[in-house]
Amino acid sequence: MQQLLDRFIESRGWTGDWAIELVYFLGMLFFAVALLLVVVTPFTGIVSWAERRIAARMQSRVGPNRVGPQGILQWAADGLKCILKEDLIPEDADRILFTAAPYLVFCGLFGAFAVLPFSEHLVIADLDAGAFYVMAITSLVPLGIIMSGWASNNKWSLLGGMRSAAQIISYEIPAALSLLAVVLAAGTLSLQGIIRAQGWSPADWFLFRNPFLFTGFFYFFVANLAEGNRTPFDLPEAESELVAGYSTEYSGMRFAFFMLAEWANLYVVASVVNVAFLGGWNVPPIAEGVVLTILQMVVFAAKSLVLVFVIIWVRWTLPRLRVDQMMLLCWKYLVPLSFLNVLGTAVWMMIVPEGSAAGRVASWLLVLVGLSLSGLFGLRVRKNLKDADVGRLYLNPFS
Amino acid sequence: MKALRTEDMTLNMGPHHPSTHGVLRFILTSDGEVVHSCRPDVGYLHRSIEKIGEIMTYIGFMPYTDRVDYVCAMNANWGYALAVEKLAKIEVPRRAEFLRAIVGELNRISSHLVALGTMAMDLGAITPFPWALRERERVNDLFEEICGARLTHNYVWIGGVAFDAPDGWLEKVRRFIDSFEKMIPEFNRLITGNKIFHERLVGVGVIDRKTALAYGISGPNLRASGVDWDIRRDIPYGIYPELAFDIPIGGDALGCIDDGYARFVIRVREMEESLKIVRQCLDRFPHEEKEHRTRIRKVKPPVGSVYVASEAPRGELGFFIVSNGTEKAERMRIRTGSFTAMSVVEKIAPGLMVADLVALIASLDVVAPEIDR
Amino acid sequence: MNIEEVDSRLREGVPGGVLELHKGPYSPHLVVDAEKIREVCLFLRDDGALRFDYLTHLTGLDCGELLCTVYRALSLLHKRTVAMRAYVPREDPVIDTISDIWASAGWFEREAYDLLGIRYRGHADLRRLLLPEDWEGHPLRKDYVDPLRYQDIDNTRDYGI
Repeated sequence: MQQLLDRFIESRGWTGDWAIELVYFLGMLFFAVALLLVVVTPFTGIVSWAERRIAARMQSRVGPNRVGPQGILQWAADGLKCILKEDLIPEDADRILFTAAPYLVFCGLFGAFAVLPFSEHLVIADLDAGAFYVMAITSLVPLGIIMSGWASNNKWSLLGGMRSAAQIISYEIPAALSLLAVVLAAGTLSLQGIIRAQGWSPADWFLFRNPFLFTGFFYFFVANLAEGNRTPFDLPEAESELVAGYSTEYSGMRFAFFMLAEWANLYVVASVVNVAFLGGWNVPPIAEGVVLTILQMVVFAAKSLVLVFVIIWVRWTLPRLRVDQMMLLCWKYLVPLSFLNVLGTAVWMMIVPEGSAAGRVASWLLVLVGLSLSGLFGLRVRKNLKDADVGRLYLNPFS
Repeated sequence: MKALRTEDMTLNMGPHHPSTHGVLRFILTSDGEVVHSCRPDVGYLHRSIEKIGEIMTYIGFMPYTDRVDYVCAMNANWGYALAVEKLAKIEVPRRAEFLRAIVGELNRISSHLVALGTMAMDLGAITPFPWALRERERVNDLFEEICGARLTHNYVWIGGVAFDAPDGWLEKVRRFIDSFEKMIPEFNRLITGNKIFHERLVGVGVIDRKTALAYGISGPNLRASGVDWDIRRDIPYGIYPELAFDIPIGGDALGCIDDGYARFVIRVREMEESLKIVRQCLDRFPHEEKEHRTRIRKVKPPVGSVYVASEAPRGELGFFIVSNGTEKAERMRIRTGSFTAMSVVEKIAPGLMVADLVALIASLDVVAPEIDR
Repeated sequence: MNIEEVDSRLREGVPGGVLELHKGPYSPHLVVDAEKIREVCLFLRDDGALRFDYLTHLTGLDCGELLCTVYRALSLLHKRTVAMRAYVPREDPVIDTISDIWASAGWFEREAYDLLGIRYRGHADLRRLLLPEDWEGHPLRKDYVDPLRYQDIDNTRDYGI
């Protein structure tokens, strides 16, 4: 890409630093925006479609299947509808905050895409402080949510906003601490660096690096669920309690921004977990060049999408926690345990040096533990399927 | 140091709020999320059914009973028919009694399914709701086949039932209960045994035995408070004396009592008992008797009054009818389970969190039209 | 124990409380002195042999010259019910509340007040229950005439035939 821009400058015969700076700046901005618009928005839309179809299957429904093949363009139709809808602002609302809030939420989540890698070379910006940047930029989201809750001048929205603030601020701590353990193990804050510190085989993933990181994965995942307002932590928008929480008074495109952010967040959460624990884009060294890049993209996307599916699955299975229970889980369990994790990881790294035989054995043992856990789960599912009257699931998933 | 001045917030929950199950309104004062007082404001669905009862003939009033509680219209039809039959001394053929028991219990199942599904949904679990409604659809299909209506059936008539069961209908009922029997454990795996669900409901919205009796709570809610009382057994009507069924009570085998979870589990258990009743009715169905209705030209009971209670899914459904010797009633009074269940919210709500209040209302299974009539 | 025995027990416990044991044509009930309704209800609830711990329902009736409150109590322990009526004059329909004896009477009395206009003395929160606060009249009275307008909204309908 740099060569592309250089060639562009040469062909115009421009000289001087200002031209290079400007062209670089504009060029990068253009590519970043293009990536966001062309890749991320449709991707988010498709995640929303996938969620609705998967949820429908779990609930013996059909789900959206009219717009495009299998309804895959449903998100475009919904987006178009939202654009065409009237943009209502309640009379007593705080206009400036009310209108600004969706953009903050949107920026917070889409900003995170700037550092999320898609493959070894395909990344908008490989910041040295990538992990820190992700934690920081996504903190714009609660700000936007509180703003929307306050500015709506609706008590239900306000309750939603306050819940969101309390929740996200609390769960930042275990999430950050769990990520800190990973950073300790990787020795870098850069997301690409964290991925490079892992390998393609499960035994090289941070998930199975040591017992503390193994448990840390679950804390990180749960804390990220909570930060993303996903069930069982969807208290800010608990539709049966708070009508629609902070987004109650929104309509049209502003509402669509909230929804878009929600589904973008799904992918951000999955990607960050993937980067930190599941080896990211690491693939076996079997290809080179473009093929390698494509392979890495596929692997990265596949891992992330599996996690997205798990998050969707959790959402449509579990009930919602109460506010005090949510706080209790965070402060009494997750925070102390993730502190323990940081400590444990540090101690482990001192005792078992990286790449030592003992470390390899521990990794493979943990892989075995992981496999047997999934095996147990599979057995349980098989038993349930046997007990259930499967013949009664009469809906064709592809109808 | 001067204490920080805080104010209670007044929250208006309803009339169009997702968890008020119809058109209901609660005026809450709360300190943040903790409810300090809760004043239910009912009457948004008042359709003056009691007044209509004084204007319509006895036969003509039957469709209105459907609308008293449209989630269990069969039971409302049945309760009304029982009262008028007692008042006017009308005999009911045995075949009709069996059909009434079958549709009544099927409707109890479908009503409880709605209750359980919406309750899970109010606690944030959305999947149990479509699952419950999927099963309810099958009951509705059965009703559609026997009487042409899916929701407001007008099937149980004074002196019998409107139509005889069509050919093969009883077999379809049997097929339904056979498959539904497997559905209950599946439903339990999905939601009843869920840890979060458990945490949300155990010890929430506790209505102890004394309060339950004082507030006239009835039906499953009363039994969840540990009171062994079921009108089907204690003031029997129809063919219930001939049938064997258990009455689940909070506290004994359930392990939980008084709280929202007990009320949930009671309903699950009652569906199992209803299946048992329907199965017995099918086994003993009097195929040899052909009459399903006593032919009556008009109902003109003598001067008198009657109060007949029946066990509807939402508790005691009582019809108090005063007759003045004409074809129209002097006074038609309907006592419903939701009415008393709603009145207790005012007492139980203080101290709960907003989310708990939603759980409490859902666990009482109130249906707004039944409160307001 | 049937209603006769309840009657005799009540006559012992609350002298002058029961005016009459009605056996027909209406369903058997006790006609209770409206002035002593509280004592009767308390006795019914607390007497060891009666133990009517559950108020099944309470409603009002328009009996022409008189308005009447109908009570029906249930004893879960003895599995029996008793019905009572207390008459009050139409011009001044006031009777003591029993909402502190059986809490369920709270809403039942509000409903009876709403629809029949019987006032319950001592009720903590005697407001209209089902109808709007500013509704005029009590619809279940026999002399009630439907209002043609409510809050300047026309209630009549022009069918245009």
